[in-house]
Amino acid sequence: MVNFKNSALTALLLLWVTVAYAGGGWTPKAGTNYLKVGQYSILARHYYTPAGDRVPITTTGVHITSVYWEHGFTDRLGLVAYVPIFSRSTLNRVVWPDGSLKEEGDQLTGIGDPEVRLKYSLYQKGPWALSVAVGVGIPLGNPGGGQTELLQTGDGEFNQKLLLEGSRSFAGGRGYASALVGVNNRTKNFSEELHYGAELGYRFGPVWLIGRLMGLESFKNGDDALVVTNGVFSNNLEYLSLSPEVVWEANERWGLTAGMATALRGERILADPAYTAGVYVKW
Amino acid sequence: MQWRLGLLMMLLSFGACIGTDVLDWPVLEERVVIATRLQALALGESRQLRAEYYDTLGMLMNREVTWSSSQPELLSITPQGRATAHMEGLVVVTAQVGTAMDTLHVRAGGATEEMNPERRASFQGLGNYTVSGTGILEQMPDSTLELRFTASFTASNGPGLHVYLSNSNGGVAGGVDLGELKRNSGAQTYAVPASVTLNSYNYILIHCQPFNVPFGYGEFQE
Repeated sequence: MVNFKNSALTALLLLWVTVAYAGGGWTPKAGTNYLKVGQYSILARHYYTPAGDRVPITTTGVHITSVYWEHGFTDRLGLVAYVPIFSRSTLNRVVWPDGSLKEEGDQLTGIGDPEVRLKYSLYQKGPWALSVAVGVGIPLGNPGGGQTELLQTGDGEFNQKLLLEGSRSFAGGRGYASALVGVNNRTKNFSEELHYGAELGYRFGPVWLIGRLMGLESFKNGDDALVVTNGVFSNNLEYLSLSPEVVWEANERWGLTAGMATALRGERILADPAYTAGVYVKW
Repeated sequence: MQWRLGLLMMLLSFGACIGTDVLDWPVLEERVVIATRLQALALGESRQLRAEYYDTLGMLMNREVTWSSSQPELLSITPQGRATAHMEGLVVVTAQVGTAMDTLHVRAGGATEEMNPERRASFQGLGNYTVSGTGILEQMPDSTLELRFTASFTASNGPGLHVYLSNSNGGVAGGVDLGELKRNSGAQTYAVPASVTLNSYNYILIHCQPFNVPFGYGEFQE
């Protein structure tokens, strides 16, 4: 039972990391930086069970303020870092219609699990770009806190990722399409994962409209006992997520972003939309 | 400007409060349960029968019960539920509140007997969660009840799993919480409150308390 502490909100963190993929097959140019302070919020009243059924649950909230940073060491080698500097998880209190208490609420605030990736350009010519990235997710977050010890700001295990991303621009640079595929090796007998996705963006004046379709499939090769100890969230989760986003470029230096992410299907994951907002600067 | 916006986002995380979820009352069928597990009553003997009434919310309520016997000449029963055996034969005793009723088959004659003081339930999972094995609700010699899971019991792990007795296989409203699941496999026992009788509830539930998700249930068989 205690091992379930490793569980509660891993799914959400991974969803956020998926949303945070940026740049596609391109790497940042040498000496350039892109820094975004982002906000991710979800209040979920539904959950995808291991069978993929969408069932009601006690309202669960996750609110993450993060810093996302891209830096180009050279024209071919860059750094991508995602640091959830404040992560807050909440669980609503539950009352009967007459107001009598059924279950107390809960909350947890802390730092989340950061992820750092090195991204290397394998090919870039004309409108085409292909890159590979290796990354590590560091378990700095709390894998089990709050009064119930069920809330999380991290999943409690290291992630090692290998990602291949390809992109092509079109319409004279006003649009682009990207695709990615990758694997996530996880420690502590968690199952490995396949990440995949596609992204389409098009610019209308200062506004970019972006649509992403991201998926995660579990290899379900983790420790059977661990699977048993993670009944609601965490190991062996899967999803297919659609996440539209709007980016407004105020000028060449900064802009605003707003988006949402929803799981079209899933297993062991919250089943309501998440909303994102951000402000970025470039130099 | 951009830094102020960034600061605002950090404050949004800190400002997220714990909300309140208000559950809907469940709508269950009214139930009358004859709690006395009398099987046979010796001629000339009397026995007080007891019945419980559960409303559409699954709550135990105090209601006047109407008692009747299919053959009063063999076994009579008073309006207060006191049964007396007069002649040998099989009798159906009925307890009724409104349209809800329960019946008890009693043999008049021979030695007075009660049914086996236990009820068994085979578990099954819900929503792809594993819950299996057998639960036994047993009346102990001191008349208290104990819920026992056999060594074959297993359940998927989950956050805050509790064991309930309930009259619904999908919800805990009106049920009684026996506490946190002690182990996810193997034999274990739970004390049952004195207000509960062997026939009070039809299901054992394994329920994820904080997220309000049923993991599995077992339906009691006679």
